[in-house]
Amino acid sequence: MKSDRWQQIEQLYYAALECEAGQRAAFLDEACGGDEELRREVESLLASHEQAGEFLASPALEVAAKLIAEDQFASAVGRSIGHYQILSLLGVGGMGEVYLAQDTRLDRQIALKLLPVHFTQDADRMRRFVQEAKAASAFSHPNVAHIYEIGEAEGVSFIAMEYVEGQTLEAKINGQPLETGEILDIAAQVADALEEAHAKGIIHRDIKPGNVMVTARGQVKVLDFGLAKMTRHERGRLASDLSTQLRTQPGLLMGTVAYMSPEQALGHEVDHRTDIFSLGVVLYEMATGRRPFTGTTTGETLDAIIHAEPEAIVRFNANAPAELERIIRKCLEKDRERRYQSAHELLIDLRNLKRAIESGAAAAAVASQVRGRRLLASRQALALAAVVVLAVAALIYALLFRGVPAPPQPEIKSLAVLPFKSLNQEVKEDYLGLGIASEIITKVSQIGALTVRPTSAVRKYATQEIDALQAARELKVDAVLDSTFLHVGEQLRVSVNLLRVQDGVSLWADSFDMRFSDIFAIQDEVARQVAQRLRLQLSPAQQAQLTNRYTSSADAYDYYLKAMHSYEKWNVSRAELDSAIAKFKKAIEIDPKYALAYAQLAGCYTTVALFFEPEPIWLDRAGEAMNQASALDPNLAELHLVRAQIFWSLAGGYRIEEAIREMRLAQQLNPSVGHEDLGVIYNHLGFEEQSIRELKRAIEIDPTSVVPQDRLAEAYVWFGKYEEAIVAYDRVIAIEPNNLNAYQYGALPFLYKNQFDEAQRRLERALALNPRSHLALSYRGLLLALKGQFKEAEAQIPEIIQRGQKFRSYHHATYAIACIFALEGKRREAVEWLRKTVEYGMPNYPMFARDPFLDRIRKDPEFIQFMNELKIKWEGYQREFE
Amino acid sequence: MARPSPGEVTQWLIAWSQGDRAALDKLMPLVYDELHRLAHRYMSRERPGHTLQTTALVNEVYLRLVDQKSVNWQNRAHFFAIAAQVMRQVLVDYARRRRYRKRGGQAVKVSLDEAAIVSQEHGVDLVALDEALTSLAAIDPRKSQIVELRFFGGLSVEETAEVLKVSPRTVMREWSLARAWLYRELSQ
Repeated sequence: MKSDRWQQIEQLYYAALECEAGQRAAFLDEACGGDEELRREVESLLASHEQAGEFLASPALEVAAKLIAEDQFASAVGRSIGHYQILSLLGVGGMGEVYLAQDTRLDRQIALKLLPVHFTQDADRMRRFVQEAKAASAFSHPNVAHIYEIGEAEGVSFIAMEYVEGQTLEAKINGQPLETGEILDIAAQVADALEEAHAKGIIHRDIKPGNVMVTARGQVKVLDFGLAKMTRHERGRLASDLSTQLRTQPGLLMGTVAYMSPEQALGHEVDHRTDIFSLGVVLYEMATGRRPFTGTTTGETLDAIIHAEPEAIVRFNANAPAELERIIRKCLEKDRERRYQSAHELLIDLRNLKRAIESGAAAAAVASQVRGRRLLASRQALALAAVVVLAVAALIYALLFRGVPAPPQPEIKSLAVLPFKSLNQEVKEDYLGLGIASEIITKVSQIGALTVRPTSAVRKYATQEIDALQAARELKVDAVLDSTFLHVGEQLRVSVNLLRVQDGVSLWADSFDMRFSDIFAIQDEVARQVAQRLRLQLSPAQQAQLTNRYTSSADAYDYYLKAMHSYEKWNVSRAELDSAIAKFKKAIEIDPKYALAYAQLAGCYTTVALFFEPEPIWLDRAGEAMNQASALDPNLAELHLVRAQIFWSLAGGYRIEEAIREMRLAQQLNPSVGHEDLGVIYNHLGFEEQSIRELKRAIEIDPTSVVPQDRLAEAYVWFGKYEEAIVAYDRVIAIEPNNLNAYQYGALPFLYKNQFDEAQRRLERALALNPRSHLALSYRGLLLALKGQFKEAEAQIPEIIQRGQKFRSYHHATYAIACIFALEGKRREAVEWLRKTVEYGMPNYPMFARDPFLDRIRKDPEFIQFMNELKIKWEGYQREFE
Repeated sequence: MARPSPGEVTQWLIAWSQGDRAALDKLMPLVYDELHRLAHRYMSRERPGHTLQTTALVNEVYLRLVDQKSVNWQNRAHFFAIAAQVMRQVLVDYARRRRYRKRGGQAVKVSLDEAAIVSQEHGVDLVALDEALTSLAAIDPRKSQIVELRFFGGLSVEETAEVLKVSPRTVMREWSLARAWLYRELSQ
């Protein structure tokens, strides 16, 4: 019966298969929890699954029948056909059997192909075939198995051809990647043969590993040139057959179909470029040990050829250079216009790469520098080579640019780091692309010398197909970092390109191959390089910050990135927040010293407390996470921002000074954060100049985000700058026509200007957008009071309180209530609500002193006393913060 | 020899499952006969297009051998299980005897790996597979049976699911694991 162990293996195997390929390793790490034996067992089964190919695809009866067929063929041995004496069976291919035979006239061994009787009976077809085969036999090339004779004897039609002693490429590959040098040797010889054949108008049409022989000395001979038409002359019919009745039949014709070009698969006319595609498939198989396009049925395989992108080579062969991947992908372009247009072009690239590899890493740098790429295999393995590469690159740079005066360059003041685009189209990893970008953004912004667009500004490009320069212009930056990555299993390849927006010139391009666990080193390196290329002066402390990393576990980091991806969408739904919490916890579980993950987790808890569930438990949790974070690293900007949010909340007792201190600390640690938060809090304090300055800075950092613009418009309202506020809200509405604030706060300037109809219109719109809005309700009350309908206005109050009191913006509601009572002349109530407003986080002395809605109670002693008390407090703030 | 009716074949299968060894002697020539017919079709194929029909051909053979419709519903599972077992026994036996013949020195000398094309494409060593399958049965009988039904019995995923009273998804999953396990076993 099943053992527990086996059941465990079984369940993990199924679960791992359902994981995205890139996530399997992480999944197994976690699921096996250090049980190495278990992990090895599951991994070995998964590997067998990958390699099994068509194992057991044909039923046993078929297997046995083929054995019999094989035995029967063997019985032809000993027969003579013309002057050929059959020695042994070489194999059975699509066109009948092939024997090793002795040419008794020339006393040499040849390969003798016997054509099926049915075939030769069709005279017309035979004539066409002979014609083509004769053309092929007239052509001779060292890498082509020569056709000696096409003839007929003893009632059998045959083809006599060069006998090549060696191995088929199919047998040689046998499910395992070949060495890169060998791949290039073999492919170059095939390409050479194709070049010459194509020049003579001969298309092979059936390039596949079974048709490529490799001798013991490494010489390649392509078999069956010009013979493919014999088996494929009814291509159109074949294609339509396949598309209809045969799609569901497993295991058929795979060997041949898998190497077809899309145009062959579609039954279209082919030209020489079909051979280039097929050679691409062969190259892929040599590089990975597997075919790029597979399916469980012929139809599926054809579908894959026509539609699917092959999986990244690096996934199966960590040693395959990036350039090889590029070459193969160019061969495998679906559209033949985008492939290599000739075997010659392909041959040149293969030879260049071969030369680059042969003369070592230094030469690789030379060859690839031309294309702006650098090939760099595993960092650890090639650490030494990397030094050489850099030295040589520097030398070339010096040689190329020696004596040429540097052209005057526009100064670069702002940068956008676009989300890294995944080249692996099968696996959706926006979070990873955005996460890497986000880390680089943080690192570069910490330098402070450059305005770097924050993650929120660039995130939309993660899912948008857009030219980097166009995105840069939208973001209004001087430079843009445009990058791609390919993440397959443990392997990661990152390519970066730093562009100057003004003229599109590439300031720096590079590519890095590494294990996923090296990701931190790469982020540090990219950030440092960006700084260097943009000629930013770094202090030693800033240098140190650049290489500051928060976890050394790639898996923990992976969870962190996923969590951040959810966290940034918290306002979309509570579920995102819960998902972020779970993932931050995972990250912490893997790396219990991950300070930043604790800080972000604290942020999540705080967000739950402030915006979803005002229960003490959430803030307790936040506090706990913050303690952990700060014990590990007290200097996290993120930690201070979370703390500030808590301080300036009902739960935190609206300790406004503490909140400001925390925000300022965060800014010292990272000059690009906290501007919006500070601008808002200064606004509530009535610090006009500082508030406007911080908010404008926030807009400068991220001109695409509507939030700081919305905040600035609101600040104008509270500072009594109604015209500016109206203009600013119009801008917000132009970007976001359904922005609630633009209608609820946006109604206020019209109330102050006595344009009640417009105010009314805006408030109605706000209530339409959110019928539960306590602020729209508050200002509708205010509007009623302004019209003298005090009774109706007061009647709104209980509902305003009930709806609003749990929100942080409740102080605006209490202030509106104070204004209603003040307009009505109810001094005591007005002052009472003003005190509440201060208590709930808005000690805005200058506004209270200026607001015309409070004019009716200004002479009231209680109001005067309240204002005097507040003034003392406010001057304290002023001394500390202004 | 007059060809027995499918009904007779069914009777023999049932008899064999009940311990009648003689029934197998009657079944064996039938399977061999079909095997040779099939082999002949392979030998005379004129172009790859023709091989497209081999699976259909194999199915046709299975259909001729076992008359699914004459078996009543309750016995179906039992019946298919027996048919697959018989197939396994006969085919493995054939492969074993062939192997013995070759070892006995009558093997054809082939000098090129290309000779392996036939066995590579559909290549599985039936004897080794049979042994591995027996080992698998010791760990997990159902997975072994899934392989028996599908590979030896020629049943589709859906039919296998029906026989075993599990979902096709379960069959697919377990088949995947069994196949990986066997592949590893055979490539060791």
